[in-house]
Amino acid sequence: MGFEHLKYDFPKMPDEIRTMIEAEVARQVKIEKPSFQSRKAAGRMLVASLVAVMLCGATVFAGIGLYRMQQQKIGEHGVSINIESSQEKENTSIVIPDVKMEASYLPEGMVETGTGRYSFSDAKDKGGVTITFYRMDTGDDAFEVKHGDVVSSEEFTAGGYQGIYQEYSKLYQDEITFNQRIYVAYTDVHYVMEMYVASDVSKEEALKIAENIKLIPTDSTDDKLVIASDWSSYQEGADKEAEGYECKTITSVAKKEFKNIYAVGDSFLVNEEGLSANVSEVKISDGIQLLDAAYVEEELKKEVDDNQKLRPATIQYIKDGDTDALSQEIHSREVAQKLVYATVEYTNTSEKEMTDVLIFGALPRIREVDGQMQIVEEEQPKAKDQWNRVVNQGLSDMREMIYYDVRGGERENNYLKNIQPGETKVVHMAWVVTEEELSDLYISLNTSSGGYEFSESSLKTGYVDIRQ
Amino acid sequence: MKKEQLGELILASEDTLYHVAKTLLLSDADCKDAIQEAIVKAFSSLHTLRQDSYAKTWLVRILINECYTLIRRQKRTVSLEEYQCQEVLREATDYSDLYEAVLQLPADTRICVILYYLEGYSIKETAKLLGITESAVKNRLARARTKMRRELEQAAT
Repeated sequence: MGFEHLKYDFPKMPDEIRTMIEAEVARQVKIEKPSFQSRKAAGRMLVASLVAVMLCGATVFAGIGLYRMQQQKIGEHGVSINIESSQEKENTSIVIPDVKMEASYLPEGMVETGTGRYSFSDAKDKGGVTITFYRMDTGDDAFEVKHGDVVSSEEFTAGGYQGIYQEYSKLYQDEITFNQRIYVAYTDVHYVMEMYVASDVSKEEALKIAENIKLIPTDSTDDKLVIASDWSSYQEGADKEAEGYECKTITSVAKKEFKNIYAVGDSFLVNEEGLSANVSEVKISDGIQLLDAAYVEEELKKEVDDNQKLRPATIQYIKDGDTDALSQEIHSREVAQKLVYATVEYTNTSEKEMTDVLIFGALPRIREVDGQMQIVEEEQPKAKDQWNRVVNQGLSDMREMIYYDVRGGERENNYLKNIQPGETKVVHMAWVVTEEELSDLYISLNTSSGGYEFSESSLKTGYVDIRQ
Repeated sequence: MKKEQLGELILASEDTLYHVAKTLLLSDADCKDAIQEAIVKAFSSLHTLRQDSYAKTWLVRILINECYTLIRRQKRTVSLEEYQCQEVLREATDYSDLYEAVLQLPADTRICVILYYLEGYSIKETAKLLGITESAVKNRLARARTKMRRELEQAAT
């Protein structure tokens, strides 16, 4: 039996999902009359919601009073947050209504950039707040989260609901990071809000946003319907380890496997259809003067000074925080960065035109150690080191090409639109590396794996030795 | 493409959307979330669709991105290796040996199998959908077939 039989064995889509798709499409297209099935389902949900509203209306204060969101310190910098019930639960299933969120306060300059996402208009999608909700399907008192690396944690009240505000350590002062979090327990409707807050939002503003959020029962066709994860599903994924096959990356191979090695000027095939490549020239530069400004992306522009010279990269040695200590930088150093600029000639050696040809260049660092060829990975701590990981703040952290001067394909990116039989097209690629890495550099033009691992495919395509 | 046409496309692609989401997320609750988010995003970014003939590919890509967003959100911090090789715990359900064998595959291989064998995308289309090369697709399908053969042989003994 082969995969072609999957159509008989694949699980069937639940009616609930099919109904949701039809309802969402109808809402988006604003069709007046949904299908008969959707109308029935929407009708059932509307009735359930109305019942929930009635129940909620009668018991909202009692509901809130039954539960308490609280925090407990763990070690020096750890906090556990949970919801405790103040009386015995009756053995009845809870009714969790569909709700919509109303956020009646946003700081000046903050705009909605997506569902539950708000950021300042001058830092769109970089900071701001991201709001998610959990449906407490197994009871409000099932909620528990634990955090380490906590700088401060305090309880507060948001419109009558209990909340916890937390701040975590912030290592990179010049960058926007999500170093704050707010939890609010809406126990009358059995939702918990988790708000991720970035460092460009002050604590005061974050609390004010949370204090002005309301959850209001509604029906499932409402535009502002909250899309929440069931707490039981979230917990299942968080608690249990992944089973089965683990995808291991191969970063070391026997030297005899590393046999398809080419020099600058050699031609070799990069795919089975007959596309060959020749890295005809490699230049090393201190800056980006060699590059066509039209193809230089913003992140590369920010990496150079006023003279277009690459700035040094800062290498940080970090000890991650936990319940007993905050994250901290143990030490850092600066290292000069260089631009590696390669001229690659692609030739169609087949008899057919090639279209939408994907091109890609990676720059793995590879070293021979005891008869093995090893991808040079990030520095690892020795026994006496206090740090546990290294962070390279510069673009030399990347192995993929940071620059290429062709555009093609559906998304106008790294594709050759077409290449005729016998035709050669020239592409210039560039990477940023640290000065220390120049003696370990190889170019991989294989398009199925990056510069972080070996694969059967990349070893077959081969590597161009450009060690300096 | 007009909104109404996109709506028709989505309704016609319901099964495809579920197959893709179920392959990556496994939990029906998560599938529902991801598909709904993808539909909303598709309508809001309809103006970015360059060619109507690519619309289904474009729609499936939006969904794949939503699935990975959901996985990342649930795991909070994901290393590069984990992002490439997600394996989410599945609901305890009585599945066939064939589907169980598919579930044993890593996510990046699993999605190739579903797109190629179940949804009937070509190697080239599958490569475009996933942003990888055609040879990568072929390699993953070959690995999947070998692994599946072994899994089914073990299940039979």
